[in-house]
Amino acid sequence: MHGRPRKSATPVDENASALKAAKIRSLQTQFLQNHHNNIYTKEALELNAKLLEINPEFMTAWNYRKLAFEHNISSQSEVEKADSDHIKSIIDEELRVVENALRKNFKSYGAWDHRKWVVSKGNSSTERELKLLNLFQKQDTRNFHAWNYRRFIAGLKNISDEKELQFTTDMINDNFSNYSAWHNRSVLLTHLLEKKVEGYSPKEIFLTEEYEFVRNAVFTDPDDQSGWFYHLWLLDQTVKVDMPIMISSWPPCGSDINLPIANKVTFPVVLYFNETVKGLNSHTVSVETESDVSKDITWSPLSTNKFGCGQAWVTHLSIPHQELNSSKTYEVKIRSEDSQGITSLSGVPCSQPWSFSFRVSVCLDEKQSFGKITFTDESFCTIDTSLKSIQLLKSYFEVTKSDDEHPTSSKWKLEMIASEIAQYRELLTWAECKIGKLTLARLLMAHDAMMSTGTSITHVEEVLELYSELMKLDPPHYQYYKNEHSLVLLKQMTSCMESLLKYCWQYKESSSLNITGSICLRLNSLSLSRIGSFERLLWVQSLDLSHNQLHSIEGLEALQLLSCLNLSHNKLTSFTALEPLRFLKSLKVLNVSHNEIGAHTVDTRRYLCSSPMSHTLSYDPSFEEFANGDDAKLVNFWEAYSIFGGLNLMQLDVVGNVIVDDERFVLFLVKLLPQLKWLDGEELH
Amino acid sequence: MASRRRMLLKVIILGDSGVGKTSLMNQYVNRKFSNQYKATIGADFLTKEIQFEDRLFTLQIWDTAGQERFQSLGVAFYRGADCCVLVHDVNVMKSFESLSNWREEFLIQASPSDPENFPFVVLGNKIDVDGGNSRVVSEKKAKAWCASKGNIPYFETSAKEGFNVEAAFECIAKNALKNEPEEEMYIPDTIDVARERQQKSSGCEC
Amino acid sequence: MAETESYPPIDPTNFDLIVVGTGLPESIIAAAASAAGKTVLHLDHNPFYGSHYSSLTLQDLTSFLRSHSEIPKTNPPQSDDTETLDVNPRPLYSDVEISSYDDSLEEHSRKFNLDLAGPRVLFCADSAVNLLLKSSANQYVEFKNIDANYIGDGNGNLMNVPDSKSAVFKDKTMKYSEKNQLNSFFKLVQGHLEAVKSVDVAVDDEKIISDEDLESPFVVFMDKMKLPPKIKSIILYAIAMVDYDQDAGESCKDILKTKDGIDRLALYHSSVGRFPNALGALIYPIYGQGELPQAFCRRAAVKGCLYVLRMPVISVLLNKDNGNYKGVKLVSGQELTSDKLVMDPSFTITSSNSPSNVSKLARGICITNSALKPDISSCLVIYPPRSLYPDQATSIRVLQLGSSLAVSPSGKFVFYISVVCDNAIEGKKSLQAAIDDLFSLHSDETESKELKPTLLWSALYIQDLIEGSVGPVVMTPTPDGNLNYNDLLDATSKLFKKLYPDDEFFPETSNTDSSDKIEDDSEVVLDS
Repeated sequence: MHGRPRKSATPVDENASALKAAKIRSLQTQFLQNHHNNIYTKEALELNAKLLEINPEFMTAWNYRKLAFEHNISSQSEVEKADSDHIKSIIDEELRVVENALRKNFKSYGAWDHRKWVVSKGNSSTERELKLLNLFQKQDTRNFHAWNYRRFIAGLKNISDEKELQFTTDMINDNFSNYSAWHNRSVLLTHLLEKKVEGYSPKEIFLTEEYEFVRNAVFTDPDDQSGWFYHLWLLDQTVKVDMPIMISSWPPCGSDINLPIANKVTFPVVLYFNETVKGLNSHTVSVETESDVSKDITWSPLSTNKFGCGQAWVTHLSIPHQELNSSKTYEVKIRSEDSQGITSLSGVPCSQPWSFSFRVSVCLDEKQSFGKITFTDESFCTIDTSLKSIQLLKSYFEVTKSDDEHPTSSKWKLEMIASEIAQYRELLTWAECKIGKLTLARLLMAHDAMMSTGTSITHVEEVLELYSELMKLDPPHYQYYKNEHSLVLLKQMTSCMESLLKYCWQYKESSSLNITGSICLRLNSLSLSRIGSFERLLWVQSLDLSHNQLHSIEGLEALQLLSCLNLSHNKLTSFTALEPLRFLKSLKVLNVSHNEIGAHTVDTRRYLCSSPMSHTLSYDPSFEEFANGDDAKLVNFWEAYSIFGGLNLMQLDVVGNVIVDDERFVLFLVKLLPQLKWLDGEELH
Repeated sequence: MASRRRMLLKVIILGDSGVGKTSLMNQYVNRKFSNQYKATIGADFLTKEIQFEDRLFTLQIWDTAGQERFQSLGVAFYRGADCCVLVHDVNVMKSFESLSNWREEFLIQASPSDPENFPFVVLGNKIDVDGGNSRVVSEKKAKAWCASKGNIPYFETSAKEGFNVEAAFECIAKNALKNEPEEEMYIPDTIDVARERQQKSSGCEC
Repeated sequence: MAETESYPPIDPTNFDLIVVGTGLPESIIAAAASAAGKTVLHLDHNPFYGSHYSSLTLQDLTSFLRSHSEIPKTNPPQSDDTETLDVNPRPLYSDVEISSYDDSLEEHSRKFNLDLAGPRVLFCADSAVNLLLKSSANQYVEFKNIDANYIGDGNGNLMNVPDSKSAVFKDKTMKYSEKNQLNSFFKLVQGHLEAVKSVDVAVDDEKIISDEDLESPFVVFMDKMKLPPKIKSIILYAIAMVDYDQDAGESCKDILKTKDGIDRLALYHSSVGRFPNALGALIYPIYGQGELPQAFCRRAAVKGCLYVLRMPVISVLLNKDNGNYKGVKLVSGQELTSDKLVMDPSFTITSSNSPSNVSKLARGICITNSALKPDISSCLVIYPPRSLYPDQATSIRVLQLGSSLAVSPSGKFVFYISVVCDNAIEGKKSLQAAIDDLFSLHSDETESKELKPTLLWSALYIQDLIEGSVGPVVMTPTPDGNLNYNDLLDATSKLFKKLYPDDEFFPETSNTDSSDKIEDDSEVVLDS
């Protein structure tokens, strides 16, 4: 039964177990011989059954049974074929063997799997299977094999989701500490809501009942996590926007941008969505300029870990040479042509058409020399709010969200979440409960997200406080809370123009403005472990993230204008963690000094970053060529090669990382980056 | 389990002390006989698996545990019986005369829903004694009594020799089976306090 | 059937122990002594087993109550000599009031198995169940679950008792905060018990309730834990089954200490789920509580105890030399000797003084034609103190049983009510208050819109509470006012220890005589 520990052998058992082992060995030998020789006689099957009864985890034995089953069914005589009882008896025998195996071990994957396989062949009574399950699940209510099998049988038998939902209700009523039952409930409800089955639509009414149902569980025993997990799912169902929406772009809607001619004739256009989407191409999104409509536009996803999809997408537009004229302004209009073609990963189309336009003008570039760029406080002065760039920035906060949702529905959501917030605030006044705090934090954030589009965030302080408490209360999950804390903090900082401006600084010297832009966003020394809110930061050219606790810079790839990036004094442990940089083609200045790159030969914390690069990058043979002649150890620099190889860095700081202890690495970098002028503060010759 | 309960048939054996109730049971279940008589001590009930029309049943045969000596069998003994076996010693007239009393006592105490048709079986035991020479209750007399009480099946047995015991009990089992559960209350789940639920640990909750 | 006169003389005539009366304590002692190898004679003057613990037909119950409430005509002293003491019946019942509103019930008299000592149930984890198992008497009794527990508010409303985590979860009347408070308290107690059990004291130290708290009144401890009155009341009266109003302060006769309250809570919770098909904490024997003494008697008989019903004892014989107990004289005139004598408390022996100021218990048995709630065949209803009327000082317990327990003909329901009291007037008042809240009175069809069960028959009576005692003879206790047998079993095992200090109270049985009952149940049954 569930949770029953296996007994350890007592000395008295030893003789018996030695005997048993000998018996198993002999059975096994005979069985393998049969298997090898494709013998599927009755005797051979009986032998196999005996073996499985002793050791239900022996996969080969189950596979043999499948072969034997197919063999015996296909090789039966005509008379037997006509006799449905014969097939039935073969099937019954299989089911019996499975039952015996399950008696031995009710968690045997092989046995459950075999049962599924046999039953899926048809000809067996699903009614009987269901009865059996009812009996079994009464005895072992949380066995997830049984729950899985139940879903399988319910599917075969076409049992309505409503009926199965009632079964989960009964099981939960019996004992609500049952993850499997709650999980199955969420699966069933997802189906019902998707299909908009009568009685489950509108989903508001139904979700309200579910909130009450699960509230009984979490209030009765806040320490029991199964209910909380279900609550999490409910919250997700409540707040999730059902379709992808384009939420931000570079250049922003209605903006005027000015490009220096000498430096660039191409510029990036970035589209930023509320979730990861796929399907952007010249058919789904059109780009229109005054002179001509660009047909051969390529949209590329900015994503380190998934092919063909991303939250941010980029294309590069170029202004034809012959048209370069400082006095001319080009109007660019970007429009969704076929918004059905842009879909979320689960296939929900972006059904709201959208369009925006901006104006581009060019100016002559005053030729400037490239001096060393520093991020020290002395380099900056407070920002002049009359700066032209500020106007650009402003447009990120003027977005008015169209009322894309049913007003009553969104009112309901807001009320529902507000009432949940009140309930759980009360619960937390008397119950010290980690997952309750986490839930409250999420509810508060969900509430804010619905309330505000551009308006100030009201609950952030409370949320930050909750995450801070959680970091203390629950050290094993410290990093998770820390990350959430960082994301909320960033949300707060980017919530409005005024608040964001506090972190914007102006370069005192204008010598390198063509590289840095006029504003540097300084998010240094904020103890951030992750970064987010990119939709508000697409304009950033110069970013200081030093003296934080970053493990990952995932998402940074959306900031296509980024040319200066300071990541010094963080906790980056490998070049893999820098993978987003590969997409930042404008990057000129990079400071990754004083991190932990190279400290871990095998980066066991890779999961914190995007997936290992080997999955997304094909091996570049030119690296071998490049490394040719050098020590074989250069192979270790492959990661650095793959990140920096495509960049034109002019300034790089890597000092203070374990990897630079290897002198060859420095030489390698110099060779890899021919444009490099400054390395670790030293000018290169 | 409902089915489990129904598969159990309770048979009680009644009759005066010393007629051989315990011996008959023992002969049937264990095929043993002891010549040494002692008033029953330690006999509770014996069970035997029987097969009838492809189904397995458990015959539970209840001894009087000696409480019949002073007619002190409690009502609990009679309850839920599916068949009642009345035993007399063919060599003792008094034991035969008591049959009426025992039958009456049973019908009062067990109060079956259909007393007219409740299955009894009468056994005239000890026919082996003295080669039948000490016999005082004739087969005819016994059969006449049985006929007058609604055609009760009658068997002449010898627990000592094992004579007719098997046949008698076969008939008892069949009659017990025919006696459908008299009231609904036998069928629903009852709680067997000897079957304790396994303790569940609070460990894995998957 | 047979009259006493037709009994043959009892043989042998000397025993280790003679037990008079077949109530539960006497039956257990007889079974325990037999199991310990003593020769035992067990007598009862009634034609049935169980004495004041038996379950009787409607007719037998009526006559039993009547006959045991009359002041008996004291037998003229049989003899003046110092070697005999007369045994006289002592009526345990008084103020018997029997009302019948439906004559047709008499026809089904035998379909009733009415408990003299109701309301009474077993907790799945209580000592009665353990004793049944230990003595193997369990093989003669079958149980069923009590379907539901309610707490009555005195206005005709019955609310489910949220007695477990899942019951709290399902409850529809409690506020969310109350759910949390109640279950948190359950967990607090559980945590304490686990911590006390665990070897590693240091680890769970903070979970242990302090000694000071354990010795304090349970109600004070619950106040300290900030439990609201509603929750306190549920825990005290509907789970811990406390009798007296714990908020009455000084005037409360029996204040429950925290440690005892915790034990009762633990008993309740370990009862839930002990047996696979018992969903609640409480079980009841099919055919009535009278099955239990019979089960122990059969156990005794199997171990050699001799049984003689319908056999009154008229006097106790004393040893000429020292005046010690020697034997008994039966109504048949036969004299029997034994080392020890145990008697049920419904007898007085002329020499002994009957206790002067006995406590009282009011009991009521009601028969109705419907259940309190449809689909609920058996249930327990608790009226906490002050719930029915302002000066209700004790909680009133009501047990509803239906025909599925074979205690009534189908369609009829039996209710047992009991309440401890100082006197008959007070006791009757309490019984009547519960009856008025639960039932509507016969006849009036128009009134029955309330859908309350209609009362067909009732018997109200007052029972004396007498504790067991050890004198020249051992006297067993009368049925007490508790819902379960725990206190009675404690008292009984103490009496046994007094009788046979060197013998074990039911030695662990070897499996030989019940081996055919043992099945390997550790496997999941997959057969449909």
